[in-house]
Amino acid sequence: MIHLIRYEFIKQFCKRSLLALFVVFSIANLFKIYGEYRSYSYLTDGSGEGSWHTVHWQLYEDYKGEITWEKMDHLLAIYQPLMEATSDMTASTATDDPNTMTGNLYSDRNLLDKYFVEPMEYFHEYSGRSEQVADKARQNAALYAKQGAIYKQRESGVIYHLYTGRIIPAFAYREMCNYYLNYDFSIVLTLMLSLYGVIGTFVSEKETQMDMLLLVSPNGGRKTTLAKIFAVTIFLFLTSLWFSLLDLIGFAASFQTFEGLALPVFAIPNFAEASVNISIFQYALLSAALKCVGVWVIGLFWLLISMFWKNALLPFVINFALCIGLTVSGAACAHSNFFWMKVVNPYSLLTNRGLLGKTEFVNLGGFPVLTWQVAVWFAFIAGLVAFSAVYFLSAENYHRCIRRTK
Amino acid sequence: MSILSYEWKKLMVLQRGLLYILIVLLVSTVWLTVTDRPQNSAMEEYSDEYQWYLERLDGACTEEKAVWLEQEAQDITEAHRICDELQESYYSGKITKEHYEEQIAEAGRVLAHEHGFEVAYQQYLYICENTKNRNFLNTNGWQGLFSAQTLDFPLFLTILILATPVFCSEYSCQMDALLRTATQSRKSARCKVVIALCAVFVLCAGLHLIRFVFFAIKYGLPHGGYPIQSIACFGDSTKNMSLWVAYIIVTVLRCFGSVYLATLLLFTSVLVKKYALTVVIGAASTLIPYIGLARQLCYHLPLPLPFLLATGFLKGSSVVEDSLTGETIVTFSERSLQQLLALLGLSAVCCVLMTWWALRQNTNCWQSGRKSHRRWEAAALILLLLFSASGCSSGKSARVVFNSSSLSVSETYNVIFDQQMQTYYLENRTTGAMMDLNRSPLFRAFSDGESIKAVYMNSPYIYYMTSYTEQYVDRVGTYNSTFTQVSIVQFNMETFEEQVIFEKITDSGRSLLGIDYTVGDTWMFLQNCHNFFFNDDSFFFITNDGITEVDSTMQHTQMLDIPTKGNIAFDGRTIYFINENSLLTAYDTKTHREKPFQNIVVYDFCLTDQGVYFINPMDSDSVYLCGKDGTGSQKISNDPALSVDYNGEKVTVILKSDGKEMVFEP
Amino acid sequence: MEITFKDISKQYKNKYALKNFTTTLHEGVYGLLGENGAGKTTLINIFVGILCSDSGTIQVDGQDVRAQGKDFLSQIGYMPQYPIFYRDFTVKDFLLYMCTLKDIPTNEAEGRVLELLATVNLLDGQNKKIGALSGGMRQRVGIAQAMLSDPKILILDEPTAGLDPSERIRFRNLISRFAQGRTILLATHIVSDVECIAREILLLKQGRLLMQGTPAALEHNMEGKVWNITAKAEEAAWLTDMYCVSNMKQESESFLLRVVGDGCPTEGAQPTQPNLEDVFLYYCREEDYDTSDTI
Repeated sequence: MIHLIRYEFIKQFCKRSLLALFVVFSIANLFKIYGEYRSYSYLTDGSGEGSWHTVHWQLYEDYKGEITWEKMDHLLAIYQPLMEATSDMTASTATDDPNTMTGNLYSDRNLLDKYFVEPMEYFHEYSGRSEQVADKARQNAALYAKQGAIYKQRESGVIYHLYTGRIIPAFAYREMCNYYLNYDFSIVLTLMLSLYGVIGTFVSEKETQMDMLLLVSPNGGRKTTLAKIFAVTIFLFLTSLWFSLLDLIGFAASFQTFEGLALPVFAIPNFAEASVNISIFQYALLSAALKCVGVWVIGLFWLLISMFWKNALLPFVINFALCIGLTVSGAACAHSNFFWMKVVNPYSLLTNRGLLGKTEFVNLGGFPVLTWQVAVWFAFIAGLVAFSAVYFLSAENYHRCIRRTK
Repeated sequence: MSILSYEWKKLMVLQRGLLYILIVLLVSTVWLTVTDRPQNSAMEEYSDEYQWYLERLDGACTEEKAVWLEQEAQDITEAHRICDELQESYYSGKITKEHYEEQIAEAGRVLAHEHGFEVAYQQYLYICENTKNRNFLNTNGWQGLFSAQTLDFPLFLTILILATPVFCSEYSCQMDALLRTATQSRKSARCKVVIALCAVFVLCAGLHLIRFVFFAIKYGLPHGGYPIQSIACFGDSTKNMSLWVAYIIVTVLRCFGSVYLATLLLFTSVLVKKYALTVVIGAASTLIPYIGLARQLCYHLPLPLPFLLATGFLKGSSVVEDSLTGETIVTFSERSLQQLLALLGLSAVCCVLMTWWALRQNTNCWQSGRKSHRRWEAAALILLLLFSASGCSSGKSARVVFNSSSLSVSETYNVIFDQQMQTYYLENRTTGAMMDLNRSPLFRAFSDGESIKAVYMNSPYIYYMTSYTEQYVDRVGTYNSTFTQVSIVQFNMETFEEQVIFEKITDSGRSLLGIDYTVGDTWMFLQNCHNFFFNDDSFFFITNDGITEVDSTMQHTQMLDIPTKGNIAFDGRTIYFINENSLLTAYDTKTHREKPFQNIVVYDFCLTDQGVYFINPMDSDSVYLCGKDGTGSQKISNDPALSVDYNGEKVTVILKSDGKEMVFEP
Repeated sequence: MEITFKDISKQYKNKYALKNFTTTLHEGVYGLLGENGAGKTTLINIFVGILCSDSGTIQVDGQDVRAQGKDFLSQIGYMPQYPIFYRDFTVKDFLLYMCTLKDIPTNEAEGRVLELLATVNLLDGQNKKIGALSGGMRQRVGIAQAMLSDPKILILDEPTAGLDPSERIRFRNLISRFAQGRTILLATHIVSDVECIAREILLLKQGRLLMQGTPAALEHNMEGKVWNITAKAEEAAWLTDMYCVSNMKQESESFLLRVVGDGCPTEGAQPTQPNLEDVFLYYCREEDYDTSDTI
């Protein structure tokens, strides 16, 4: 079987055209990531003495690491006078003021505000806010217990455990991680590349009339189909993992730092209500895994659809349309309170911040299960259904069928 | 049969090209019909009233028109004031009925087109920004016509289906070699290319014609000669052209874009000879720049994409201010006509070269008179080329009593609104314990953009409307997720279970994979909603402008012309309200008929299970009770009253004399 | 009619598919023999204008075909290797379509199609979809389409591949019928197909024209190089390893071997009359050859 899978993989996915697309798409992805850095980061103004980039990293040395009162006081001691001096907008607008860090008072204030005060404030206040959530969840649990609302009681219990003890102990640069966690472009590339790879699995056999030959081979028929499915699975996983890795490397290279990966994921503002208590690096791993599952289930449905055509055109277009449909509906319900709509759409697993970034539950037999967990289970089940459908709907040698029946 | 006929038969009949074109045209028409919402819903809702103003304002905004409009604004405000005064004087017996009716009719003439005035005034404010090239006109048709600013995916997919098999099908059945040895091989290839490109052109033009006819019939496309700046999407454009010309340019550009994409596919198919690779290259060449590049960069590429989008060529520059530094960031830089022509020219050259190469590859060597060329021709061409929920479950409300002016109580809980905290609480009626109506510990924990806007009680459920605003904008670009979402949550007071039964995104600056998209203004009214109620068929949202009915199944919205100044009551089928003449009026939500109860003039009222309690200004503000059909009116109290409320259990009257409460058990 | 190929070469990457191919053809059937990858299809593709040669010229009656262009194409009929054609077309529709492509006037097309269908014995199947035809029937459609314009030059690329013996014989006879007044270039690696009908044989090896001549002349050239040997099993095995054995037949306890080689392979070997298969085998065995070795 291993040999069959190996040959199927080589046959289908070690094509020059596919490898060329891999290279082209990877380069496009890196360009896009660098474009994000150039467009969105304020630290792209070179390495001059008064540049934000230089000043930021100099200041960062003072404040990084454990958040202490001394550091906060020190920061406020610089920031407060700047705030006061610039609050009425009458301060000097000169850009070569030697008494400033960046050459301008407003610029100093903005730099401190964006990269130090605001994040530090958020980090510092987060534990208090999450403690309030935990407290309220505990009170709710007691109330629901009294009321006999078992499901709500359990839900409150889970929220309590999730939010108790949440703390952001250390200060770190979070800009790179922020953009990395909100980056979606590689999903499009992953989907397009995966679609191109998967679409030929059965179609190319028909185009080369190998399907008949396979059918009469001892290891042909469903055994080959099984090998094809595994090869497709490996290909989809590798593609998804490659782009996840490329995203991380691309962002780190563009922003020239890996800083912030050790922060808890809820240190990023739109992950404040994250349903997982893990670091950003761990989140990146989890996200990569979820993307793999999402691509896998979509890929198996593509495979299933492509089985019924003799050339690649129509299945490609149909699968492409399916992909657009999933993407649009997935984006439309990304913030919806109709959680089932997110859970059943494998696209949610690809973007996955809609699932992991919010603490949302689905009621499964009276038990609250986090939406991302349900989405994974649902994807597994849907994937297995597609897997079985591909397996059982694939052509099988008639003699083998009879022998099996006997 | 000629070669053209045979090629037509192959591509359009046997490969079902014609069928795909017809399906797309049909589906697009149906989709457009079902999903279209007016860009300016008020303009459509009050079209007669707006038309009245348009007759007087149509065209450029002159000084006289501006003065007249400002005068109208004053007149309307004045008329409102007079109406209020007249009603108060009349019902308190200070003026006679004849005098009252005469005066109110006069004021009514001023207010007859009030809603239309609101629309016209908004348009006036827009025109004032640049009166030189912005005109008054009914914009819904034109805006709808130009609203398609994203990639048309059905068109895109159909082009893939139509163009890819033109040569790929010959390769797959190994007919390419045979065809090239025929004397008419070049003509055959030429016919294929012509048919494919014409089919794509016809499809694109057909889709535009359908849109044109649709908007012309539905909204009208008046004054095509007015400047394009008259509609908001081209407001900042510096181009001096009319709406007609703009539409023709956009249509021509999109048709060119479609033909260009088809040509690219033909070229690719000849180059790679495989279906899948052809389609993936065609799709990637359009989608990757569409999703991956900033929109303004897209309009610099000599690819099919900018022409498929097209509207950006006519748009003006747009800038935003960086929220942190205050710097101006250009989000879109206007493309001049010269730049458009240059890009068009370059693309046309690419198109011609690709077609020429594809034809050449399908021509016999002895006919083309060429020498062997390694693939550098194709490589050169490639190098030349390398540079877009909601759900609704019906609530159960067989028999309800709803009064918008009062918060209801159930057997176990009172709903209390805390003005200071701007939030709702539930008060346990036995223990007096207070708790938040929204029980989620995460509610407002990390965001200030969450609030409860309204509550509707129908025991054992409390329905509350939450508004959630997410503002996540980092500088300018693809990380925008600014939107407001309004949901109605059903809260079971017995089991404490919650379920969302209605949800809409009311406004959005979101981007999907970098493609900005908006949701129109259809649901914008929800942001101003301060009360709501519903039955099995519809939701009713009360705003200051009126009541909007939303069909539970089809989600169609309809503005009901019901004044919402006073109390609005609902019994599951009929809406009770005070009309402009202070008469108690019933509106049947099933028949959509309005019935004012003659002689029941009310100052304030509340609906109970037994009937309607109201304050009668004709009888010194005494409290009366009448049946739900307005009959059997009887006096309940002689004391002049200020207000009358019903909370589901008792009727509370606040006396005019000392502000004390008087309670009735109905 | 005289067709002259002069120094035709075609190179793919670093390998010559055809090198300095030079020959002259007249009326009659020419068999283009060669092992797989010898350059037969490349030569045909260059001849019919599907491929461009890197160098060399082709002249028909002294005139360069490049200059003739469309006129040249109207003189040729071509049947490709493994034709699939359009599965959704009926046989008649397809031939009418090919008539249009070959500039045959509409009023003559139908008659010509029916005439050829009768010739290739496909009149009954004229309304069948091509997708429903057997391999032999499809080959007959192929030759019919090649003959539509009554071409002076007929080029057939592996026309009998995949046909059963009776179909092959029928096909050979068809070609012989069409040979009158035409030049037919028939590429194949099935020696027996050309042995009986070809006027001359062109033997290709590794892109070069190895030899050209009538079958008789080629066979004559091989005289004294083909031997019959009767041998026991062990000796037969040894001979098979050492020599080029064109046939091996078991007769009771011994084997009758037909060995092709320059000298007498063993004692008791009887020289025998060579055939075209022996010629093919002799020149196309896996050995280096002398390029000057042409007739």
